[in-house]
Order: sequence, then C-alpha cells, then structure tokens
Amino acid sequence: MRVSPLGLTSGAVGVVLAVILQGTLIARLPLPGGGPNLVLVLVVGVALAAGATAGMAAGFGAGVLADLLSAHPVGVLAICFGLVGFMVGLLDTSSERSIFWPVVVTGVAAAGSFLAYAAVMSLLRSGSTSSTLGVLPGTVLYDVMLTPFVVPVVAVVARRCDLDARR
Amino acid sequence: MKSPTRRQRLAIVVLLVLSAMFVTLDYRGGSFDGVRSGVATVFGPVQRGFSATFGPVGRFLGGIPHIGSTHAEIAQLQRRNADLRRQLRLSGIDSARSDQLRRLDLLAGTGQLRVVPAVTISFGPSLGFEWTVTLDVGSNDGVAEGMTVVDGDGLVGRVKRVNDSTSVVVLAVDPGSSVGVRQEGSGSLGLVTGSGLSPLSYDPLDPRGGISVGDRLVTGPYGGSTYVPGIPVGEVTHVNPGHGGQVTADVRPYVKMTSLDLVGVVVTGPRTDPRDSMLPRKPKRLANGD
Repeated sequence: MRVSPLGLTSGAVGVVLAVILQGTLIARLPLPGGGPNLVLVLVVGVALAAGATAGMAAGFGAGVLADLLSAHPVGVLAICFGLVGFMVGLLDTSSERSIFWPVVVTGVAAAGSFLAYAAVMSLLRSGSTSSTLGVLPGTVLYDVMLTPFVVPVVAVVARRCDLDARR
Repeated sequence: MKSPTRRQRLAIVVLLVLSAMFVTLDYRGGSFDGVRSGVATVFGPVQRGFSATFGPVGRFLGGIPHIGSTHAEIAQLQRRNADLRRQLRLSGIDSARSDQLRRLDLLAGTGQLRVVPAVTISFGPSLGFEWTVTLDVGSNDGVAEGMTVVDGDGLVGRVKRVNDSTSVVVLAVDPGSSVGVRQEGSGSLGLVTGSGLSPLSYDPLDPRGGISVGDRLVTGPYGGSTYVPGIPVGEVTHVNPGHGGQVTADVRPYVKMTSLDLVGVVVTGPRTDPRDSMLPRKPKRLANGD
C-alpha cells in the first residue's frame, strides 16, 4: 500500500482542525448529558475510508495532540484513539454505501473508547471515576448524531486523495 | 472483518508500547513539559482565534436559560422606540462579557484578591468526563501552577499546567478534583469532590455536624488544600444520610462550568481568611429564586 502525500497532508490537517474545533466550539455547546467528540468521529471516518493503517495513524496522532493540550498524562487518548482507528479499519466496509453501518460503528467505537479511557484514568487517579459513567449514553448518542456529517465528507476526501495517488 | 497484515500488527503493538511508555514517563513527572509548552505556544494563538470567532455563539447559547430573567428588562425597553431596541439586541452579546467582568471585579474586591482576568480559549478534549479549560494567560502574566481560578459567581478550579501564554485549569467538577470547604455559619470543615455533570459531592469531616438543604459552602482550610480561602463554592441541594451515621450531601456549584467565559486567576489571596464575607447576602439570593 502506497502512502500518498496528499492523503497524508489532508489527514494531518483534518486531525489538527478537529482537535481545535473540539476544544473551541463543540465542547462549548451547552448540551445536556454529555457532548459529541468530533476527534473520535473523524478517526472512525478515516479508518472506514482508508483502512487500519491510516486509522491507527490518525487516531494516534490526534490522541497525542489532544493529550498534549490537556491536563492528563500524554498517551492516554493516544492509546484509546489509536486502538479505535486500528480496529474500525479492520472492518470490511468496501461494499457498504449506506450511512447505517458507519453510525453503528461510531456508536460502538464511542462506547469502547469511553470505557477504555475511563479504565486508564481510574488506574492513574486515586478518586473514583465510576460516577462519570452516567454521561456514557449521552456521549454515544451525540457521536452517532455527528456521524452523518463527518464520515461521508472524510470518505469523499479519501477517494480524491486515492485517485490522485494512482494518477 | 479483515485480519491485519504482519506489518499492521507490528505497528499497533509498537504504538501501544509507545503510548504506555508516554503515560508512565509523563505520570512520573515532567518529561513532556517542553513538548507541551511548544505545542501550547503554537496552538495558543490558533485557539484564541477560533475562540474569538465561536465565543459569541457559546455565550449566546449559554445565555438562553437566563432569558426568562431578562424579561422584565425587555418589557421596559419595549416602551422605548424600535430602533433603540434593535440596537440593544445587537449589543446584547458584548454586554454579557462586561457583566461578567463587573461581577468578577466585585468578588475580587470583596475578598481583597488580586486576580488576573482571563478568557477561556478552549475546553478540554473530554470524552465526556475530563473537565479542564485552557485560559489565555500564562507564566508571562504571573500565573503559576496551583493557583485558584474564580469567576464572578465563585470557585472555578485550579491551575494544573502553565505555559508561557496559556494555562490549563482543572475544574472543580472534574472527578479528580477535591476542594477543602467550610460550611457557612457553623464553620464545619469538609471535602467537596467533583463528578462531572452530576452535582458535587460533600463529605463533612464531622458526620454529625449537621447539614441541611440550602447550606452554603466556601473554600476552607482542610488537609493539604491549596485553594484560596473564602471563595463561594456552592449550595447544598440534597442530604444523603448514609450507613453508620456518615452523612454526605449533593452540592450545586455557583459557577456554570459548561458556559465558562471570563474568569480570574487569583495571584494573591486575602491576607486574612475572609470566612463567609464573600458569599452574597442571603435574602437577595433567595429573592432571585436560586
């Protein structure tokens, strides 16, 4: 598998943009019961469109960047997002055209990464994190709602980059 | 489900080991301070720019729950001419910030605090439960690690990391946050811990001290708490009698953590403990209905 420079660039731009938008716009929305995570949905989109290697790279990169801009140790979100990108990328989605499948995958990925993050943080923290599990359903729901707006866009961009690489 | 190629399998193992190593190094202390401050230097201005663009949106949406309380004001204004009304509506968003600044000034004045005003430029990359914000002030502005952060209504949190021109604050509602507090009046001490979107939870030091709904809490000297004393924290909304006489309570924070905008970092605390003096007068608060 070849790595196209255009694909790499657009992936990096997308990741940086998602991390910044997440902090400055999306986390600011006063939504009840949690909030969407644009970065996670983007990683799922990249993995669905471009496979496990790209998903893993996007997830790891986005995770490290988000870690560096926050208060918890570097590597926590990198593990979670990297694993999500890898596992989603392994799913066989080439024949699928509808939005239903990405929505289901995002829901499962959101719940999985949330629990993985909770597990790592509870190892690092003395306090209990179990009280925070209440926002899990809300978070998953918001991520699912974000999917139809993000995943098709990523798919289009990935197809353009792929065509460009084959030319 | 496709099975991963050899190379992919190797890559994911390498990334996992690398992440685990990062976590260990950073958890033990300071290995990533340089990288963090570099990233903050690059991203600070970008976040500031985005935040300036989107901030009004957040402030507007954050203000929606309060629209009912400005009804009387609007009714009064309607008596004036239509032009004036439209003008006022256009400037409504900016007046929100000047009101925040006025209230922050009032709190700082009452408590004799020296505060550095700051604007929230980014919220933590939370997966729903890490509660941090990034402020547009850093060590260049005199901010240091561990300083207390307030807004016009009370306690916001504590500075966790400081870069040259930005800093990361862990909010009081973060599940890892615990604040030493004192009950108004009785002066009993206790600990308030965060639990995300749910109310704060209050554990009194003396379980038989007596708590009732409506009791107000301020930061106080408890254990190793480094918060500036006397900052209003919140109000007891529910008392949970536990087993063996251990009573805990739910506390509603005064500060709306989901719509933080203008805050202040307390660089110098009061010389003497202000005790309850920074709490607003009770009848006024009751009249407001909150």
